[in-house]
Amino acid sequence: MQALRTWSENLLSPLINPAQFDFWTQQLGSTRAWSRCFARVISVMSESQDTKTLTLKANRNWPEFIAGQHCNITAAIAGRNITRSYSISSDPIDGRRIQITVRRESGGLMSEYLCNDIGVGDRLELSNPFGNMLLPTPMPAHLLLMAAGSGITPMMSQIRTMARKGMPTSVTLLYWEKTHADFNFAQELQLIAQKYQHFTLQMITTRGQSERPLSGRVSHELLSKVANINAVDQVFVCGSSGFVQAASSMCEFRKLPLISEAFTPSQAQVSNTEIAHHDVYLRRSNLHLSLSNQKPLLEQLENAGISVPSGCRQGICNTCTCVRNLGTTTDEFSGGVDNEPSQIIKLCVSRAATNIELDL
Amino acid sequence: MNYSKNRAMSTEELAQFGAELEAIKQEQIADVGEVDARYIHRIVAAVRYTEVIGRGFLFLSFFPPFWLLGVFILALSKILENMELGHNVMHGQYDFMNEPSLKGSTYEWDIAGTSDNWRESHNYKHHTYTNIKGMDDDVGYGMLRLFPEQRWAPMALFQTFYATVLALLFQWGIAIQELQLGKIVKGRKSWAELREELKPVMRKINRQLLKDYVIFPLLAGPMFLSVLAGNFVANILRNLWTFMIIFCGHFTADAEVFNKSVLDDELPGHWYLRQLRGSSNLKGGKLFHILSGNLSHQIEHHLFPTVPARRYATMSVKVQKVCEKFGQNYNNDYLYKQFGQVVWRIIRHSFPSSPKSLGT
Repeated sequence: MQALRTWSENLLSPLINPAQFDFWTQQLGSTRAWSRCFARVISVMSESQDTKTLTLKANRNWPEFIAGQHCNITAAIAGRNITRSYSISSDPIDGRRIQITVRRESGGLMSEYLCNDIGVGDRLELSNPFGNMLLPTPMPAHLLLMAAGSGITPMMSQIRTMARKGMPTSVTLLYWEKTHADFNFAQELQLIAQKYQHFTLQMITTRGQSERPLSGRVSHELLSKVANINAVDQVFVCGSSGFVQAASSMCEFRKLPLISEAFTPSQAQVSNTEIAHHDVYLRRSNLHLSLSNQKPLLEQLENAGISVPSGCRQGICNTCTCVRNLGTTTDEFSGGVDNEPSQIIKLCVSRAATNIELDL
Repeated sequence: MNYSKNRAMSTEELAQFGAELEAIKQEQIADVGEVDARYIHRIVAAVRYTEVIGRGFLFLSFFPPFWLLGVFILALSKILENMELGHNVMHGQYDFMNEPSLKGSTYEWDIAGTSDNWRESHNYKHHTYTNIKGMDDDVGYGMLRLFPEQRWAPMALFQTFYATVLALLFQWGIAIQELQLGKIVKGRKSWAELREELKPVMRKINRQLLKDYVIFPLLAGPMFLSVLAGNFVANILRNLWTFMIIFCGHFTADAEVFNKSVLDDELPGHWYLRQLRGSSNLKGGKLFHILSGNLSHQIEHHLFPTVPARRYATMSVKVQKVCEKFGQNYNNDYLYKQFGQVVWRIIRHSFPSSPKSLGT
């Protein structure tokens, strides 16, 4: 099959190039594509007061994913392709039908678009799924899941998968949100908890007085109150970096095996005036460099012995363009600051304003 | 050479001149976004639809007027793809979109030459060292003597003939330009080097030939010869049009050529001034500008190669004001006049000439 596909691709490629193929499928109202993975929004539901669950139907280029993984989602917003990572919250058994749950962050370009503007029938692009927060095989006897806020989304995929299989192991889920109105999947989780004796659900609020017995941030005291901690033989932690740090240190203290994942911390404030060095990570070369914010990146990369194709060195010839995966850079001429992930930049006229990651 | 049309500027004036042009650029760049994205998507659609319609008419060319119509529409499609889409996309004008199919560093256009060679010879050499003799290979394309500053050789006597051949086969001229065959003759490049460089070029050429002269004619069945001939003529029409537009951009009567020495201690203002003096514009309507890839605004394109070309018309009003303020000639006229001057150059400088005898 693969050979046939390769053979037919070779034969067809002079006739039709991938961009042309993708153009015509789009004109015909299909999400099919030569190699890119597009998906159509097939439903938008409110999940809690600030979150929406989008159900997407991906095209045939979507590979299988494993519960707990996430993928990069790209949307064209105001003429620009914007990319963010979202965990997949649905069960992999649904094949090309996948769900993501998005919390609206005020001022968040992508989250506001996905929560307010997107509609059924709109098109998104998906990357291959990735991420290492996967259920171990063989399954541990007692699993402790600790989620805060959107950290619930990858775990929801795992819980749904386990529920489908009849909950093969003991699971305790500790799930933190600010208030009761913020809990996602509340009804579904409660149903699962009713159905399976060995699935223990604890929904904990961090703000305000609640009628429920549990509130407050993660602590040793809370942990010993809610979970049969001595029986636990594997912990998963997912949430903001502050939460993950706190929860991880508690688990480490108790010497519990731990798999954790934190959301990318928000960007540091940019200071143009202070002389500073930032960590520049070259992803493909897997190399860390410490570069100054006072000189363009290209010059410093070359001084560090990294060969980068370049030309005019003044921002006109477009030879040294590269994708800045993460971080903030400033423009040499306009002084403009940009921190859009996966943005194409010109190295010869860009300076690092924070730690950055380049696709080099 | 007619230097008298330009007032000499002091160092301060030159810096101010550059700063004012830079300000025009930054003002536009700050505004780049959704409108530009929508525009280039519309251009892509126009290219795709005209190609299908043009090829469709050629398939139905048993009715002779359809052949003419097919040739005309296919030529239009190729012109639009090469000029307004390919050329401008490869300058990175639409990199802000982060759209893989419109990414400057990877776009491949529908022409015999490879995009990689073009990015080197055009984006880098031609745009950085515009009209500098010995550095910008576009000055006469390594075979024509267009300026009295170029050395005369008896071969030049025949250049009116081979300039015509170049115009008809312009895409092949571009395809082999970067190979710098002249260096082989002069012994500055080995055959082995050439063989290595030829590999990607031959791949691209094969692909182009296969598409226009084998696959599409075969698909047309009994219309094989008619489609083959139609594709051939459409390619020639595209060649003539692009030759005309491109030669009018830098080889009109008032366009200047420079010696390498201009690069000594060149200031940013100097670079802008050299772009202005080495380029010339074409007057015309909106459709004319689009079909020329907005290279009818050659001056603006050279001053601002990374700004989306649809903005050049607006920018030209401001550029003209700056030129007026600093007493610089803004070389702008109708196609027949500008091309007339190009033809005159080709004929005049096929005979010995010297800068002095022509200067004022």
